[in-house]
Amino acid sequence: MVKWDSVWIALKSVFRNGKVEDELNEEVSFHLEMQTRHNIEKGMDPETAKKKALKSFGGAEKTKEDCRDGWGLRLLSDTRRDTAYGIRQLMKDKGFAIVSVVTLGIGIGACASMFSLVNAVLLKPLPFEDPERLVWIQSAKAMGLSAQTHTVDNFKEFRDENNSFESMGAYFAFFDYGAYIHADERGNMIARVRCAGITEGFIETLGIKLALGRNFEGSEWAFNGPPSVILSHSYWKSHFNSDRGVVGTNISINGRPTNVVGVLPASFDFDSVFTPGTEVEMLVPFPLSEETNRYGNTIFGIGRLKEGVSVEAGGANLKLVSDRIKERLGSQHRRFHHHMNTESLDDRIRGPFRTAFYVLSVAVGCVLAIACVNIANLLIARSNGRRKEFSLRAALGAQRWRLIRQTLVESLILSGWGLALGLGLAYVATNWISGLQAFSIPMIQNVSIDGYAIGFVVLIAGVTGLGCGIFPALQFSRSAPFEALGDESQRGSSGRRTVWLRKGLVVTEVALSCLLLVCAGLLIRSFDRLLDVDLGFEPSNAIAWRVDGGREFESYQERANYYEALLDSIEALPGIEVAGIADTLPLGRNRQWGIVPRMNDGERGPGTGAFPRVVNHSYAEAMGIEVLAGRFFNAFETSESESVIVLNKNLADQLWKGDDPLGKTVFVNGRFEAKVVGVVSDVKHNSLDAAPSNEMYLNFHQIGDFMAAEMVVRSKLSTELLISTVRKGLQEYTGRPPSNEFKTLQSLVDHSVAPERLFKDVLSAFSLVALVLAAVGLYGVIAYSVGQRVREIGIRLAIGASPGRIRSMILTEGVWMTAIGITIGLLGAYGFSRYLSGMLYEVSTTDPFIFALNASVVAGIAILAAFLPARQASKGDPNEALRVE
Amino acid sequence: MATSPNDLLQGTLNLLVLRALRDESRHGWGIQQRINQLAEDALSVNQGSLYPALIRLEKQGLIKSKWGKSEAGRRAKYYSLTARGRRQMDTETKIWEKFSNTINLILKLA
Repeated sequence: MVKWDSVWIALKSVFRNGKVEDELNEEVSFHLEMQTRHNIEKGMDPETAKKKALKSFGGAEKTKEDCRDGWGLRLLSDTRRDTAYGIRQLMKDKGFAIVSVVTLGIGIGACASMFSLVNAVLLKPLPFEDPERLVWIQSAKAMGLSAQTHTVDNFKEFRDENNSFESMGAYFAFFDYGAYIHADERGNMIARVRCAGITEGFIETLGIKLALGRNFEGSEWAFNGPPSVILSHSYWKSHFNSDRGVVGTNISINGRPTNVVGVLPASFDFDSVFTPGTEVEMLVPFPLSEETNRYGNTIFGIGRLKEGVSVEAGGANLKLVSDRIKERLGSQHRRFHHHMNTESLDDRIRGPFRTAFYVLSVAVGCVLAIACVNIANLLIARSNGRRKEFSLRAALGAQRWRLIRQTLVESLILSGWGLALGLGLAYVATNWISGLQAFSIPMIQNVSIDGYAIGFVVLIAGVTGLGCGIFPALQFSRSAPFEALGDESQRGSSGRRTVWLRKGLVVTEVALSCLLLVCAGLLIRSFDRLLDVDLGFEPSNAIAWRVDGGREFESYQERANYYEALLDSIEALPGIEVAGIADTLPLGRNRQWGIVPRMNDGERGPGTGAFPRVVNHSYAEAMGIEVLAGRFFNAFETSESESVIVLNKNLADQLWKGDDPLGKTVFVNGRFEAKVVGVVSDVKHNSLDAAPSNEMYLNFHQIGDFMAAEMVVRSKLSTELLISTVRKGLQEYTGRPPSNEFKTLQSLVDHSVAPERLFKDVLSAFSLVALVLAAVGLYGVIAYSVGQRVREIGIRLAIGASPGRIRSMILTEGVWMTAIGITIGLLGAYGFSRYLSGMLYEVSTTDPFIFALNASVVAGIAILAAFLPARQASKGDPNEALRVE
Repeated sequence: MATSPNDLLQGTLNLLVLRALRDESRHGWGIQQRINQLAEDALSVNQGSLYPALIRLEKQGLIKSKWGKSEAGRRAKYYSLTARGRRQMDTETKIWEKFSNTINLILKLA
């Protein structure tokens, strides 16, 4: 049983040592007083009485110490004393203390940030009930969203005909095509919002408890039912001031009064889980109806497995249902050809990021290890300088354990300060990271320093402190006091084992930094390759601006005319070269339609799928997409004229295999025919590292599937001027403030490589820190050994050794350590880099150039670090060197 | 508990302290005086070990302490028996009696 009383006394004595001590003092002095008086009563003179009392008491201080022992305070008061002593010692050598604390602070801070990141993104369970039972249900594992999604009818069949799932729900994958405007009562726009459509069962399947209000119900689920929304927690906070009364009221969305039925909980942001990087402010009901079924493949399914059913078994079960559908539909419904791919929701959301984050965690661990090694080295160097002090203390009877403890306490003080600094740094870092909307990394907004992170870093700091202190501490445990004193008096260099230990530590540092540098080098090279990719469009000197008509149009023709007029007014502005429009930009959303060519014999040939892009005639010019054959659309095409289509090279090659595609006819999406008038260059649609895919361009005068509008404006103006020009132009033309959703085309590219850039930058930063620390460590060891050998070097110089000889003697030492370190580091990198393979684009994990380059960088820096003390040594004046003693 | 001579002595001191507190609460010096008086000065408690013993006993919950006024009007810490202390005293007294009887017996027979 814990004796709370004694714990209390112990604690009291640590924090307010005074009180308990005072009471003890008072008690003892009372005793002495009584004894003195007693003695006087027995006839002694006061002086003698007092002396006698003290004597019979047997030493007041000793008694107090024994009493403290009785309280169990001995260890604590000793530790307190060690701590105070340690702090005094460290303050004596402020430079050392600051360097150590900053080094450890950076290491610990990086560790804490990384842990918070990994914890939020990978470790914390998804914000759902029993998340391990949730399954992601998609169609093909292909690139296009249309190929990945299911039709409403098929989804309903999966839901109703399986026997492995408790429930299923789905969401509309193409929600980003819609434009929603949230306005106030007077119709003034408050914000453009994204509304993601969710189906019946979605909220229940995930097991989300709404923060306020209720899920959609009854007729709200019907097609064209009463408009209603569920607000995201962050939008509710930012735009409704967290007003609980908003639930049940109407707000204006796209000019229609829309009932706010609920608010999502803070723990679940739709976007941070399902569409990281694309903010979703509201959820709207997506009906599972005849009408929505006609949209084609549009929804992603999520299922909750019954208790005890594995993901594989659930998937196999759905595959059976899917095969039945395929069989029944036969070949005429190839558009809805079905695949069934299932995986756990967890894998779907976090799977792609696991390797990268674990690699970064290892890197952070390496940095901290190197920091530790440096501190350990410094501590050893310091402890060598303090040998005399420790030897003396040992000779005077200090227990070995006490000396070890003293050293450990000092390194723990350092790591404690490092911890404080590191936590501060981590707090800043995680705050910054969680504010990054730009990253398509799930749950990254939830990154924060929480209890787990603090627990983790305290543990890390403890391990770090002990790890740094253990090497110097163990030294004392070996050296007998006499030996150490003798050693000291002879002023020999420090013990052979110490030297080996320090050299070993430096070799470790060099190896670790070499490993990190090689990995960072691979990522940097891969990133360069990625940026060198031919985008198929010209990202510089152009911006994209999301625009809308601000109203519902009567027809798509009217809409197209409205936008053409808008484009004309923008093009008329000074400095604007060309403005075009498309329903979606590259490196963003995507969908897929079927396309089937008519062959020379008039028969339909084998078809395929392609991204449809609905655009106006000036889009190719505005984007800088090259026309390879034929022409792009022109200003004379209308809904009345012949249907035309432009293909990209990849698609044209696939359909006609080298034959001239111009003038050929294709069937698009099973709905209409169009004549091929041109072929354009391949544009990177999904990501820079994806292989070329099929694309087709359709004229927005001729097709109604044009929901969102992205205007692209090309100009030689500076970005700021261009933005303000276009903003003014839009304001003038529409008479209302334009959206703030504009970006440079370059930022589209940057955005799409943001995770790669993040990983590259972080790893590069880590490896640089590692390299610097390793260099400092190497320098420290060599400089120290030079300092130890001042006399030897002096003698050598005195009897005629040339400075060059001395230099090379010292350098050789550094070169050996470096060579061994690099060899180990390269071997390590060779073994470790395979984990990077998933993150590398057109770079081999064992790229010899990168290995060689980074090894020589490490070698160069290391030899430089060794050269400085070597030069100093050789310049020394032998007279002075000999006089040191 | 091991039975080294020290432990034996300590145990004895504990018993003497408990016995000194049997009838009334006393301060440290009072306890010492009481033991001396009971032992008719044949036994002198080492005063330096009295206070650590008091702290140990208090930690074991056998005695409790309270600050009070001494006869001379000075602040002093008074110790008194707890119920557990009283039971412990009885047990230890019995053990001690049995132990000393045995020793006496052996000494007489030898």
